[in-house]
Amino acid sequence: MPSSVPASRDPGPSGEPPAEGLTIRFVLNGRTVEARVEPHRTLLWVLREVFDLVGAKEGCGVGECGACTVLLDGEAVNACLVLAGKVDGREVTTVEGLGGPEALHPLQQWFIRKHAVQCGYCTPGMLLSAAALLRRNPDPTREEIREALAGNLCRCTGYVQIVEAVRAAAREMAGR
Amino acid sequence: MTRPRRYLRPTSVAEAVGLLADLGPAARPVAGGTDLVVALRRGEAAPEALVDLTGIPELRALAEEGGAVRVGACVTHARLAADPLVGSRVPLLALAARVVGSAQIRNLGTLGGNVVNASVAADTPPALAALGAAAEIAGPGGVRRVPLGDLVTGPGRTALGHAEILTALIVPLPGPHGAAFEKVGRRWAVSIARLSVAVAADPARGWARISLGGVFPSPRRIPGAETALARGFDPASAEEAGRAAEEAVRAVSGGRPSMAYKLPVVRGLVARTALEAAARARGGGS
Repeated sequence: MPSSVPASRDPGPSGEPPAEGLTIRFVLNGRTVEARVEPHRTLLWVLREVFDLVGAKEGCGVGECGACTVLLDGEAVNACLVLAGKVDGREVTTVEGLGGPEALHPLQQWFIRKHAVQCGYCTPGMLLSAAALLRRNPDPTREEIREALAGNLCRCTGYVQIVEAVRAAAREMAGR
Repeated sequence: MTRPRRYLRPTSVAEAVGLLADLGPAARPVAGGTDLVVALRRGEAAPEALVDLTGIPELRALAEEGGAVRVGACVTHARLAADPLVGSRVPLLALAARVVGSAQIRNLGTLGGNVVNASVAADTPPALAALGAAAEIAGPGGVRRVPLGDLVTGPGRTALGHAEILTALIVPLPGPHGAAFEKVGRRWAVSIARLSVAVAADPARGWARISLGGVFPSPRRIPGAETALARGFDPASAEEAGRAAEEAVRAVSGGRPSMAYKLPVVRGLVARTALEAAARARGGGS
C-alpha cells in the first residue's frame, strides 16, 4: 500500500479553475497514510481509488444501503457520505483491517459458518456495522443486532443467518 | 457539474463566520454532510467552497446551562441518543435522535444540520418544537437567539442571513416528564418519515406538549391537543387530543392528496403516543 499518492487529475469542465488540493493524513487499518485529494472526494473514493481497498462498495451512493460502511474512530459510517477532508487526523478501519485470510475476525468466521454470505456485496458493511455494535455492546439482543444492522441492506435477503452469525461471534468473543 | 474547489476547516465560530462573509454565497457550510454530499452528487448544490464546521470545539459541546441543555449544532444524533444528560433531562430529544436514518447516518448527521436542512420530514425538529427550543445563531453582526419556529420558515427554508451559522439549540429543561416519539414511514430505518409525533407529558403537574412533523410546512405544537390531553391523561383525553390534532392538520394541510390517509393516522398515532408518554411519566422513566 502506498503511503503517499498524488491526487487524481480529473478533467474538469473547460474554463474551470483547478481545485485546491487537500492533504489528508489519517490512520488506515493501523498504518498512518497520507493522500492529496480534491475537495469533493469522499472517503469511499479515497479508499477504493487511492488505496485500492475495494472491500467497501458503492451500492446506492447516498447513504441508504450500507455497502460502503467502514469504521471512523471506531464508529460505523457510510463512507460514501464522508467528505475526504473530514478524515484528516482520524482513524479508519475497513474490512481489510478487520481480519485477513490468515487471521479472520470471529465475525468473519461466523459469517462463513452460519452461511451469512450469499452474493457477498453487503458483507463488508455488515461486518463493520456488527463490529461497531460488539465494541459498544458485547452481548447484544437479537433486537439490538437488527437495529445496528438496519442501515445495511442485503438484497439476497439472508438476514436471519446474519443475525445468527453476529450472536455466535458475540458469544465466542465473550468466551461464553 | 460544478465541484467545490476549496475545503476549509475553521477551528472557531469567528473564523467560520469570517470565511463565509469573505467567500460570499458561493461558500456552503457543511456539518455531517449526510444531506449535502447527496445534493453535491445529484448536482442540486454546487458550492465553490465547503466550510466544514465540525472541527469547531464549541459546536460539539453539550452541557446543562442556566435551566436549559445547550446542544452544539455539530453534536451528532448518535451522541444525543446516548448522552446521559439528554436521556435523563430531555428524553424526548433522545428518542427522536435515536430514529434518525441508520446507525451510520446517526454517527455522521448532526442536530444543527437536521434543523437547518429544514426538511418537512426531519425527525428531531418536532421534538425540539415540543420542548420549546431556541436557536443560537452567529453571524457578522454577532450572536442572536430566536425561537426554533422563527429559524425554520418553511420546507427547505431558514431565516439564516448571509454568513450566519446555527451554533446551538437551547432546550429549556421542562422538569420531570414522560416522553414518546413515533414515526410512520415505509420502513422504520433509513426511510423518510411520512408523519412523526412527539409528546412530552407530566400528569402530576398537569402539562403536555404535542407536536407533529411531516404534515406542516415547519414543525409546530398543537395547543388544542395539549389542552385535551391535560384534561385527564387517560384514554378518553388521549382520543380527544388525537381528534384535535387531526383538526389542526386538516386546517393547515387538508387539501393535500395524502391527507385521506394521513388524517386518520394522525388521530390514532397522536392518541397512542400521548398515552405512552403519560404512562412513562407515571412509571418514572421514559
